[in-house]
Amino acid sequence: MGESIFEANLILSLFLFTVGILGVMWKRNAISLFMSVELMLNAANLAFVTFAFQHGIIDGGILVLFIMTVAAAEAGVGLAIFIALFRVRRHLRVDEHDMLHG
Amino acid sequence: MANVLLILPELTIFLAAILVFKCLILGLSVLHVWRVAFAGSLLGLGACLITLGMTGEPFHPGIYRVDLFSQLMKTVIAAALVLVLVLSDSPPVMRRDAWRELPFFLLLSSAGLMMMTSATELITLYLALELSAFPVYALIVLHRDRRMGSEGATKYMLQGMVASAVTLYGMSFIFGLSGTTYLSEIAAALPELGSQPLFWVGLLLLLAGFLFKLALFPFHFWAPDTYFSSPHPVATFIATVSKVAAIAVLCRMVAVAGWNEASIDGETLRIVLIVLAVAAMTLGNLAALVQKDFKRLLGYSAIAHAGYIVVALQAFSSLGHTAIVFYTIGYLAMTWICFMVACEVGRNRDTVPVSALAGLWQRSPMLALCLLIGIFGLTGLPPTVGFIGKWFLFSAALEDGQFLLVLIAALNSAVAVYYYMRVLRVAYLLEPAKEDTGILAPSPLVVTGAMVACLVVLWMGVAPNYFWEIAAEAIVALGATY
Repeated sequence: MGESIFEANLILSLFLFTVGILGVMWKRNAISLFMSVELMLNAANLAFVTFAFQHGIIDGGILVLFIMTVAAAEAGVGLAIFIALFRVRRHLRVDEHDMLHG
Repeated sequence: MANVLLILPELTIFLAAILVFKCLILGLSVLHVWRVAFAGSLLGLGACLITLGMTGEPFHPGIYRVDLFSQLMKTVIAAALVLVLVLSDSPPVMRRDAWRELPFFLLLSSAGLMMMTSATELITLYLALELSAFPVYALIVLHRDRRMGSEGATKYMLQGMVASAVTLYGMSFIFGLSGTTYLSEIAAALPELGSQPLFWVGLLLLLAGFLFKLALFPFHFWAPDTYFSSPHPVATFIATVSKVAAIAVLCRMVAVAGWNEASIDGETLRIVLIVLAVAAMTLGNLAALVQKDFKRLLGYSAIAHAGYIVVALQAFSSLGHTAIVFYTIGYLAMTWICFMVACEVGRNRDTVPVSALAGLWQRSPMLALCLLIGIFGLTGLPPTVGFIGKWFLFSAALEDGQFLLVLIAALNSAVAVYYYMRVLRVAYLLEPAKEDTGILAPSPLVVTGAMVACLVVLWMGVAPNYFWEIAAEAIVALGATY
């Protein structure tokens, strides 16, 4: 891989991670928060693949497969919990948690 | 065959989890499922004790390390799991249609935590971290009060996911700079890596997921809310068992980053840890002052204790690590005692306000005495392990010349006396409220567990030599690896 593509990939990864972090800080809907976290995971994935190409070893690619599998499981658990939350509250805005504060 | 013996503790707990799952499918009653799980966890504890002296690498070299350090941590995890299961035979405030499932998730999460203590490779570490986290997310939802359970689970899960994503991003930096995922190879490449600031940024990000489990500032927001909104035995599990594994991984990562030979950039990592420790101690103790709920108070106290532990961690020395291992064992026993009281008092309550402890002395002298020992320990008063353990933690930092940090930590401990003593005042001096004057009678098993935990707290406080030597040997084993 050329040097310029390598750097471009890393910059894209950093950008995705930043968008994810900002989303986590500003978004207030549970699904949006979840999507922001997925962006952060994908930023890590991209960085892993890029570095794996750079070093010419396969470990980074393997790690990405594991991360994607775990992220899928995470989505399963997460969405189930959101459904449980939605059933009792009829909305998913996390800043309106009136029972838990502080 | 020897390899199977090495992973016997994890294997036992995993098999127990599968067996419990089978029992759930067969539709056995709560009591039967619980008995199977309890027997499994006792076997797991036995397996840990059998493997305590063993050393080796059961899988591909460099991925998974069994040594005295990991086995000691696994023994502590298994013992804590047994203690949590003791509280779970008819778990208070859980949904009745789902409380059979509690032991299954506890076993699964413990297996993940055990793997965390042995993992010496980034992929393994990440998988173990997630395996230990997911079952707990699912457990919080099973609160009797569905609204509280699902809100608490959402908060805990979202924050946990963010922390593990940050961990992964840090791992990608370290992988990118070193070109390997094996901790041993990273440690070997450290002289070269250590001069690159990006490596230390990556290491700090990597630690995020574990600092989250430990509830250190700035990953502490979940602790009070999650303790408050989880069913009592689940809160006990989060407060005790999962802390041990997080501390084990932190010790291992800092050992990898090098003791006593920290480079200039290593100093930056130390300064960050010091700032986090000061913030966690101060914030935890000040916020605990105004808490009205007992479990929430324990949550803030956990944040403060995470700070005390990092005070010793930042010393980057084997003395500091030994103090941490020693304190962890004692902290686990003290915290369990306090949560045991919360479980018993809160058997029919969704939450345990401090006022619910009123008149505990009249309702159950045994529980009141346990609470006294547990709270004395958390406050750091002699003759409990809390005093001697904190002494070790602070002296590790003092040896390193961090006088100001220790002064701040000591001032914090003094502030903490106020809110801990308030709990004891309510339990011993106030009359019970009208609606809960009944006598509390914990089951014989809970009484046995409480006696063991109290004994550990007092024994370690009066005669710390025995435990200190085990901890020191474990840290020597850890240090020999890198």
